Amino acid sequence: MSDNPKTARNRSHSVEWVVGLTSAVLVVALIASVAYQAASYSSLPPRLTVTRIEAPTADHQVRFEIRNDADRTAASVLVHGEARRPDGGAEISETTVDYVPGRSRTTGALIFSTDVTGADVTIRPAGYMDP
Amino acid sequence: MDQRARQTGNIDFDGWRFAAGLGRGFAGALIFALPMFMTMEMWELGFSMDRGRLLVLLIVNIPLLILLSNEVGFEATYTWGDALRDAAIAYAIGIVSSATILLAVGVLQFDQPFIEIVGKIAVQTVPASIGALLARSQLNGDSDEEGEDDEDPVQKGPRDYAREMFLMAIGALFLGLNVAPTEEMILLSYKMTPSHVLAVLIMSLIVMHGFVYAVSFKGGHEIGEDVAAWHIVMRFTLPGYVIALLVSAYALWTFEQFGDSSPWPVLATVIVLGLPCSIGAAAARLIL
Repeated sequence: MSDNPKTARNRSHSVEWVVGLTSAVLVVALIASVAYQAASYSSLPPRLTVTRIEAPTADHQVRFEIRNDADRTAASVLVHGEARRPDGGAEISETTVDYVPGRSRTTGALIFSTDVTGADVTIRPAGYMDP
Repeated sequence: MDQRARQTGNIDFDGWRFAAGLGRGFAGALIFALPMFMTMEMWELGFSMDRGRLLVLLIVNIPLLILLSNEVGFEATYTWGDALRDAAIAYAIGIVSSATILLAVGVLQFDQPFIEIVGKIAVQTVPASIGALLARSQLNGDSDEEGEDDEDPVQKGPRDYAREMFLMAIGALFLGLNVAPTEEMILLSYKMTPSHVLAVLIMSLIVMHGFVYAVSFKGGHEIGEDVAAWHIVMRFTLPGYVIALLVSAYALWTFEQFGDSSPWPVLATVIVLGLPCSIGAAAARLIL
C-alpha cells in the first residue's frame, strides 16, 4: 500500500494474473455464448400463446400466462378475453402486456365485472408491436 | 496517505474551508445525480422498488463511501476515522440534496404516503452521496486557494491492484447509474439481435482497452514501456470489463430491470449497460 509506486506498478503480482486469467475465461465464455445465440437466432415473428393458470378469484379475476416461443420480443401485446356464460350472455375484457421477451413468459390477469365461474372463457393474444 | 497526513495533519478548524468543502459536496452531488433526479423511472422506483433491494443498496453504499472517501474524499482525508466522517457527511449531503431537488421539482408532495417519500429520497441518495464524495477530485481546480495539497491522490498516489479495480467499479457506477434505471435499457436489449449484442460486447472491449492504454500514457497506471500489450489486456482490460459487467448486473438487479425475463434477455441487458459501465471503468482515472 505504501511501497514505491514505480516498483509496485511494474511488478505484476500473481494475484493480478489469477484475476486476469479468470476474467479472460469469463469474457471468452460470454463471447462464445453470445456468438452461439447469434448463430442460432431466428428472425421469425414472435409466437405467442396464452393459457389460464388459475381458477377465477372472488373479484372475477382470470389469471393468465403468456408465452413467447420465438426469439424476437413482442411489445404492447393486447390480450383479449371473452367469457360466454351458459345463459348466452357474453363479456369481453382486455389488457396490454408491455413486453413478452423472446423465449420468456409473463403473467397477468383479466378482470370481468360478473362471475365467470362456469362460463366459457377464451383468452388469446390479439396483436403486438415490434419493440 | 502518510504524505498527506504530514501536510494537513495539524491544521486548525477553518470554518470557511469546511463550508467550502460542504459546498463542493453539494455541487458534486448535483453534477453526479441531477440526471437521475430528473428521470421518471427513478421516482417510480421510490415506491415500486423491492424494499429488500433498497436496503441492500443503502447498506452497500456505506463501505463504498468509506473506501471512496479514503481515495478521493472531499476533505484531505488521512485516517480511516476521517474517511468514516467524510463518508457520513457525504451520505447526509446525498439525503439533503435529494430531498431538496425532489421537492423543488414537485416530485415530492407532502400529501404522499411517508413510505413513498422515504423511498424516493433513499433511492436517489446513493448516487448523490457518491457524487458528493467525488466532488473533491472533480472540482478541485481551486485547490491552491484552499491551501490543500496540490497533489491529486488519484493521479499520483501509490495504489495497488485492488484499489485500481475499486476505482474502475466506481467509474462504472459513474456512467452506468445514469442510464441503468431507464426503460431504454430493456427496450434496447429487445430491439437488438444477438449479433448486435456481440457487436456491443466487442466494441466495449476495444473502447475499454483504448482508454486503459491511453490513460496509461497519462502516467496513470505507470506501466513500463517494456510491458507487452497483452499483459495490459490480461491485467486491466479484461478484469475491468468483468467488473463493468458485474456493476451493470448489480445496477440492473437493484433497479428491477430484469423482470421475469429468461436468461438470454437478462444477459443482453447486462451487456448493453456494460458499454457505458466499461467506458466509465476504463476512464475512471480521467473522470474521477
